[in-house]
Amino acid sequence: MKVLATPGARVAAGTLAAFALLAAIAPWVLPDPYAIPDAIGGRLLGPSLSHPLGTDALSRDLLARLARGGAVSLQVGLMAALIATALGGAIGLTAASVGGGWDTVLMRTTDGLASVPRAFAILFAAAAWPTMPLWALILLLGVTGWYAVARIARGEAVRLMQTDALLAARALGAGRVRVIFRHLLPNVAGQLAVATALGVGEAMLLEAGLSFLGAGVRPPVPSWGSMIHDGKDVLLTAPWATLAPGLALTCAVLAANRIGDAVRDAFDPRTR
Amino acid sequence: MSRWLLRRAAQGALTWGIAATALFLLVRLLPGDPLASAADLPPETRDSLARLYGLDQPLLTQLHHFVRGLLHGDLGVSILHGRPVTELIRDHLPPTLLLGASVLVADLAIALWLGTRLAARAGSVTDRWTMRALLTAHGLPPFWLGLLLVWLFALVWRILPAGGITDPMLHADTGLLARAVDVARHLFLPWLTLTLTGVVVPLRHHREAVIEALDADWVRSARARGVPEGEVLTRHASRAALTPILMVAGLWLPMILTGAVLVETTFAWPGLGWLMAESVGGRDYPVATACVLLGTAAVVFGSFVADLAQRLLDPRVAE
Amino acid sequence: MTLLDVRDLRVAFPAPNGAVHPVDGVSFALARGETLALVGESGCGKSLTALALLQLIPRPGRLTGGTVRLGDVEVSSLQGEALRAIRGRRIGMVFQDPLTSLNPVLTVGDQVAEGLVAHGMATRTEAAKRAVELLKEVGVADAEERARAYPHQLSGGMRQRVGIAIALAAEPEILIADEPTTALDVTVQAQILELIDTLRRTRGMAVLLITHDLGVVAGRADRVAVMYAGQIVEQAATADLFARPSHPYTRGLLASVPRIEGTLTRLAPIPGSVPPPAQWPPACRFEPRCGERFAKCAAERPPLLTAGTAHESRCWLMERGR
Repeated sequence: MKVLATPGARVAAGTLAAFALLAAIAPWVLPDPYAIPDAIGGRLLGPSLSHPLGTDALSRDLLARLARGGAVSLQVGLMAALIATALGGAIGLTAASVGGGWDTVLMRTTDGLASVPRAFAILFAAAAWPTMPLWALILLLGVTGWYAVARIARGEAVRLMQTDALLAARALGAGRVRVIFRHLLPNVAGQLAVATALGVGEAMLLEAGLSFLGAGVRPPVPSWGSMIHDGKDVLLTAPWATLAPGLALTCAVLAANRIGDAVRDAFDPRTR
Repeated sequence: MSRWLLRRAAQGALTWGIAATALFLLVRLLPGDPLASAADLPPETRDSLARLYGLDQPLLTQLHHFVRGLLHGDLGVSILHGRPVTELIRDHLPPTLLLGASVLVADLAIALWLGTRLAARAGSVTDRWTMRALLTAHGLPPFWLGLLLVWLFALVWRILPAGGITDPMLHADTGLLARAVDVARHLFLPWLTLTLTGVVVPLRHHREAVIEALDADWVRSARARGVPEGEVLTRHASRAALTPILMVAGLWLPMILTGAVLVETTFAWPGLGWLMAESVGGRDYPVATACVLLGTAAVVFGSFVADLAQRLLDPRVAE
Repeated sequence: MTLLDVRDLRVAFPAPNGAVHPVDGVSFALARGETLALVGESGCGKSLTALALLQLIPRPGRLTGGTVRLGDVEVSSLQGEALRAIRGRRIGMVFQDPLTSLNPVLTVGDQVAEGLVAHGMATRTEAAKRAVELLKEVGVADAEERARAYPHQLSGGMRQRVGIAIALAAEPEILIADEPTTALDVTVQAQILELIDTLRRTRGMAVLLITHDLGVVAGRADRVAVMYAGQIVEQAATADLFARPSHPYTRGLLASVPRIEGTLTRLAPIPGSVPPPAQWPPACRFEPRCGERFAKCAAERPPLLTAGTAHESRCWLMERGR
């Protein structure tokens, strides 16, 4: 695939695959991330053979938590990005193909919603719904992330609507839905793919941040963000409890962004 | 000009109104009663909160009450603190303004200066590695970077404070300068964290804009009349490339505020973001609402300023 | 006396199957006070030739051969400050599109004054005053007010006048005008050409006029050089060229110009089209389209041969005494 043409993209894909692999084999190879074997003596142990990354404040194995947390973060990031792209694409394409008053209304609404800082919006929801489950968090992440995608999709679609190909299709009586799916969507697909890939990194960072604040993934489900939060108080004595999840998160986000850039380059008409 | 100002201001107010409506709508979709934690408060307080934030009234009525409360400076009482919401906002707004403004200025200055220099050397080793470094910094979780900086500067080297905005041990009659220095010392790490993780966004845009501008015909004309290369870069390429940065402001401002929430919490910087985060754990719905609407207002205002700046800097926009 | 002596100029652009040379061995000379017109269709390399003189060839193109002697200075080998000293000060250039050639965020007056300040000929304030004088000289009405205007606020003709003022600000000896009227309305074209001519006379400059329009050439140029596919194919005094065109391409160009006098006949275009640089024929480049070709034309590349007094033609027909 052209996306994996450069070594950077290959490394990025490999990194994400490694995290996925780690999460997959963890149940067989690593201890239970939820188990608390020795709450008193096993706390905050340094890296050792039995605990490659040490243990946390509740004596849970950090590597196991890292693996499980990775699975959670990746899943949340991916699903949220997909929701955001789907929503943004739908709204952008609809606005462009309908045009006129509806277009203005949709885009103005988009502008309005985009003015709310993403973290603020989700925290607001968390304050109103303290027991928010994971699926709701993912939905909220998606619902707060589609604005840029909508603008890009609409912009591209508006441009396409002026092309001869589309003017001909509409002159021949193609209905709105048909126009969207058969003509606009395939041409915008590239941009949507890029938006999804880049959105994964953003969503992961945001989820981690929310978990860090205690408003994201709820304990005892591990998340890299909440692991960093837990490790914050023992920074001097057990730095690995903070370093490991932070490094993992950084690597995963950078990998996702790198893949996003690779997808963008693959679709860029100038490099085709 | 004044006509444009009025129109644009009205547009901003409408944008904010749309956001506020959407947020109030969102909260109605969520299960449970956000004011449940107010059960132990005295009845008059509960009533006023119900008027401003209650969900069993029609949306428009609530909006009406809220905007009136906003204009009269009465947004109810904080469930967690027992103090008026407006008071809390007033106390926590300045630190966020200070942090936000200093980050904004720094990011813009770096983006303009470094973006131009990198554009002149586009494709070179310096350019590629600098961009890589900045993009990596952008991928770092700001709260994690903050913790690392605290670990290094405050715990290991002990040259900067670990958090807060002032030293609680400062003597009551310390001079203004000493106080300012104290705040500056506390500001440094949160400022550094936000600046480093965020600078690539405006920088990337400006660099691309300058690269494009360097290919422009008028740049060729400037060279043809003997303008020194340095001036070609700044006066002709960079100056004409200012508009894209300002257009990005609308996307970039919400990102700064999102980062601010995390950084303020990490450093116990008592700003609006910190207040927002605290209100979540404390089930303090009135404060959360006020914070999110204020954050939105800040973004809308920033957008307005960016549009104004664009109008002033680029003579073509005014036509 | 010769002011500018260009010999064998060559510009290369990288291409998938080896570099192409859109300017391939161009030579001409410019004497003080004269106007030399460089004529050709789009794609013949005339604009690139002009840009090459000031080392303004757009990337990824490069100057790969030839000399450009300005008096005793070899311009093509200059760099940095030495090159800057030539640009605008000894050779000035007016560009084709007056809208994109002007910086949109600077006032017109600023841009005219810039050259003066850049060459240390005046302080900022002096330059600003001089800019207004220059604008008057090029025929901009209300020069003082107009100096404070932005490019987009002026009409096309006005912008081109500004472009000329900018080119002349530092008082160069040579003015290169790259299709100065192509982007303008017909009515304005004549005014601009007249202006350039007047300025040439009053300042004693030499003018290199680049154009694709033979009509422009007829009244304004002392000598003409016709370019085709990166090479000069004919060079002569204007009257001589029009009266006795020697190269089949020139003849074709003249024949395809519609005329007012005489009987109405069909326009006679030159058959075929200009090939891109990658597909230039190895011998005579015009041969595939030439109505007077013979065996040698496809076999050997013709050099510039004498066609009369101060008249050269790159055509094997010259050997046959035609």
